[in-house]
Amino acid sequence: MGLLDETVSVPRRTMTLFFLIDTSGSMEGNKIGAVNDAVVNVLPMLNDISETNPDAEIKVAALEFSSGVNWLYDEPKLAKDFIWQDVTAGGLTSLGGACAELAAKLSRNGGFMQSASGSFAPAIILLSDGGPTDNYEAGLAKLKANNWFKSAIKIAIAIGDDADKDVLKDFTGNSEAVIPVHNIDALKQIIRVVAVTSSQIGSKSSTAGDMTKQDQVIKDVQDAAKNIDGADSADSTATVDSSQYIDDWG
Amino acid sequence: MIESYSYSCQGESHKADNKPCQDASFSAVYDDGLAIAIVCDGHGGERYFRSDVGSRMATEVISESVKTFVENVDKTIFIGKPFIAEEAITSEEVVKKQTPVDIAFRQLFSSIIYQWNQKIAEHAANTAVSEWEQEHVPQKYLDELKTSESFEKLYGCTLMVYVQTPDYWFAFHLGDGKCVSFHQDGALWQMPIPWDERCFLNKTTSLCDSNAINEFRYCYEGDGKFPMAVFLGSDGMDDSFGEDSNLVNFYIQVVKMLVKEGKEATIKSIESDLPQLSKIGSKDDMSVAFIYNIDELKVHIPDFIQYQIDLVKDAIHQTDERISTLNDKLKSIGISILSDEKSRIEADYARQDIERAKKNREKFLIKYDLLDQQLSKEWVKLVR
Repeated sequence: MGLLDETVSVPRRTMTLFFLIDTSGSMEGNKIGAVNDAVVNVLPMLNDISETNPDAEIKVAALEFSSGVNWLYDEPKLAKDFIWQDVTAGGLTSLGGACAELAAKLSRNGGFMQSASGSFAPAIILLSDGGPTDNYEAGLAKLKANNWFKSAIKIAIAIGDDADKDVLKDFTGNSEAVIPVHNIDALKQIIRVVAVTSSQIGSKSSTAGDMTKQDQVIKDVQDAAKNIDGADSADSTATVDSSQYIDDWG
Repeated sequence: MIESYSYSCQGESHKADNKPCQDASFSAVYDDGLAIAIVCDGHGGERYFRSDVGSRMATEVISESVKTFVENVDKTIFIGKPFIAEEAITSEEVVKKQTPVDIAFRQLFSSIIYQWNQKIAEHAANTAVSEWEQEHVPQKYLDELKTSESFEKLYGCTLMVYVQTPDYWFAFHLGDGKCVSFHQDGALWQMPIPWDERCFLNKTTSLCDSNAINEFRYCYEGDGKFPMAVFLGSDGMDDSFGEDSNLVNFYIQVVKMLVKEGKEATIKSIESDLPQLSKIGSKDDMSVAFIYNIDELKVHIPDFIQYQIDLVKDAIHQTDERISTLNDKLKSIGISILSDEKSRIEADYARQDIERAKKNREKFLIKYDLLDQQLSKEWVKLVR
């Protein structure tokens, strides 16, 4: 008889990566196409990170929001199992509804989360090209009271000049965690960089120095954004009009 | 007979940069029947670069303070008291806790904080920056040793303590980690010390907090009932097991080994398995400290096995329910499968999940058979 024999379970630790995707009417066309394309392409990379990471496995969950909200699947899936179903655009921007729905799932009771022991804080990537059309403050207030959300890595991708960066900043709690993009290629590249970086850092046991995981992700994503044509880095997001880029979604 | 044991080991993630084990643990059973178990977990961030010393000093201060407390406290304040548990208090509630036990504990906790601060100040004043610190710690934190008048953060740690006397027992906790107690009556196990919701994921309350005195949670009992065993484990332990039931299951394995193979063999296993557990689990430093009554554990060993069997039965039941739900889902999808891409994907998932669930069910059945055989042997022993 051993202490770690077959009667004892040592489950692999888990980190869940959430995509919150604005699928309102303004995303129609190339923007939503780029999102679909980028997520499909990044999933195998997330699987590589998950399979080669001794610290934790990575699960993925995706919530689309327009006039309503919809989870792509009713539970997070391992990165290797996640089959992306192309999302389509149409309707309004119920960000408040999405926040409330996410808050409900960032829980053990009827939610997606497991015991805090053995879990890593989730990573949440919000993509939006406009401003909320519902009472987002109420939904966000619920989310901000949630312990998992408080601990999460939160990054927002502001798609184009019409994205409400103040709202996205409110969501992430940090203006530097809002990455504006202005063309299709930049959108695709930033989705990849944010998803990969969040997964790599979020699923590690140890952190580098005293930086929080969120700060590490921001730093790495900002560094990457400097080299992506059409993506703004922190120093150019102070004001809406300070970007060196002009929107090009043709 | 009351016995004790404690062990700490370096976490897997600390090996790469040769970071010392920042946990410390202690256990002892004294001639007068006093038994003490302590686990302290030094914080891992760069700023807490002497937390290994802080946790070791905390165990020293606590063991001495507890001995003095038990020698001097009027034990009648505990006698006859049923099990009582008190949560950490917010600043508005300080005046609420005024029973003699609350007042006595507050003095004990104040004494621990004060003496720990004295010890770390002395250490900070007398211990030069080491080569390892020079190489690994940012200068701004090293400077705090010279410029700051308080050193709590550099030495920050959590603490968890169980104390048993012949007349009463108590436990207190500041920070994360888990305390599990096993009982003869009622539920086999419980976590007797209230949890503090501020301890979540990698955040914890700490002995180095400015408001540490109000962050202690505690419990006590003086009505003659004592746990059969109490296990203290640092967060490296519970992070390795995830669900509490898995952690409890591990401690039950320890109990079974203590009874079946004796203390020496159990110690050997713990000392070889905990580093392995860190490697496959949390990667963190690992500590356990426990106090147990071997005679009571021997009598109740069938209860422990029965609990494990019930746990496996529950798992089988849940798996069966999941398979049934997934089969229902497959049936409902069946109608639209030819026309709907989403339905096809959902059906594939359901089939995959059913296969996984069936494999898990087979593993549970093997566990069940194993435990059932163990229980049968115990019943045979009892009949003889």
